[in-house]
Amino acid sequence: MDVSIVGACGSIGRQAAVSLIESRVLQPSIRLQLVECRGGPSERALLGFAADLQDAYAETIPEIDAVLDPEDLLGDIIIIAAGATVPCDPHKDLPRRLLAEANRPLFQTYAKVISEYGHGEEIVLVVSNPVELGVAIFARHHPRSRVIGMGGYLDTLRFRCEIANELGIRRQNVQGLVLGEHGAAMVPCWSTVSAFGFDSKDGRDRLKSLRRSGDPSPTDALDEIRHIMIDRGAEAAFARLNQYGADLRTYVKPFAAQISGAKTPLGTAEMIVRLVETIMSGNQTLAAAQIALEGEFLGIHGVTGVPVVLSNRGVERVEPLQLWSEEADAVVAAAAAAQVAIGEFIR
Amino acid sequence: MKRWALCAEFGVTNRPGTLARVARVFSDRGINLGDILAVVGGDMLTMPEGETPVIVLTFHCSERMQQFLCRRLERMPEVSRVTILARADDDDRPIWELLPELGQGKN
Repeated sequence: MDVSIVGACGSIGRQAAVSLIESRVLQPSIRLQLVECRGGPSERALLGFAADLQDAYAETIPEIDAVLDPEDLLGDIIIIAAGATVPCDPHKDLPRRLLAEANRPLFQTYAKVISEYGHGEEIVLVVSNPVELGVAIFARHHPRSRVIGMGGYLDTLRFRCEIANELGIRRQNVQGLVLGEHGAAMVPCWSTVSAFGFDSKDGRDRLKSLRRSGDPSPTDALDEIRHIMIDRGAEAAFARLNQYGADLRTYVKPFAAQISGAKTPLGTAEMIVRLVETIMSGNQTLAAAQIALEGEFLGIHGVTGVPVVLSNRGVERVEPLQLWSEEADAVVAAAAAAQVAIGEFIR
Repeated sequence: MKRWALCAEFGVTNRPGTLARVARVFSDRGINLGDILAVVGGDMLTMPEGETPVIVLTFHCSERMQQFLCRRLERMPEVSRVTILARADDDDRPIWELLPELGQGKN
């Protein structure tokens, strides 16, 4: 399977390319397309980046193909990591609506290209935000089971990481899913959380104790961290966010990393690698992902994060998990809100 | 599913592993190759002057997939041209007899 990274010179795309090569997920016979936009700010850098990759990984590198025209997109797995993102400067803000406005043309361009020139079985991994809008647009032009929003996958791994940190264990020993929106309306589902070694009554009590009450709302927490970052610096901001519960940290920490200037290329790229590896190996994995639903989960029609089994056919099936009622309500509400937001941009 | 014969012509950038890379383009997408006629790599040494090394393949797939495969092969740096010939189900001619129709002009 060939892989295309749209936005290969951006911080996420660049790191994804490096991680895919370093991890040897891409065999030398595979073609890795590095895609940028002709006339865009990264056009000049693209060939240089391709040359640098050749220098760095000549022994194991797959076939590199630098692409500047959307019509030359040929990947079987297409990673959409281009476009505008949340600014790194805490003084600047880019509301979700403006982010959607900025990235909609990009989503539409590549969705149409895949529809017109693709073979029809490509798997599209949407990393660019808003993930829900991206998934909605791609799913209008391509089989919806082959369009996967990475937001839920990233949030889930972050949530498991935060829980693991509090328990003093490794992430691989923690299970749990984050559903709903890849944003303020994300729904960390404590009903899905379990951890190896925490099955006893004491263990379950310990897990239960991680669920905090009294934390600010996600939006308020974001504002608080932004202001602390501006007024007192990154150290104070990270100290404050570490006082939040694991579920709120799941949402706020990547934002803090972004506005600190470090951004989140490593974590995001690593998760892209894991998903690509699962797809290429032919294995199946239970994950959370934003997909276009037609009533398969809680009767939702629209795009939101739900539990799915992923494979080299994309979404194998939606997993019918039994959530707590407040979680189910939150997922339904997130989907409804996303649908309204998406409706402003596609009709 | 239609029957196709495809001819890929190679330029001066021909290099080791070309045949394997071409075959992988098909196998990765679950397409079984029928006949293969290949004149590439070292065999260029025995080719008459002025001739272009080629690979001719036959296979079954949808028209959409066939168009994708042509684009994919044309994107390979070694490939200078790809031509395609739709074959009727009762067309049982051997692969080398297809070459004139694929624009090679060989006898």
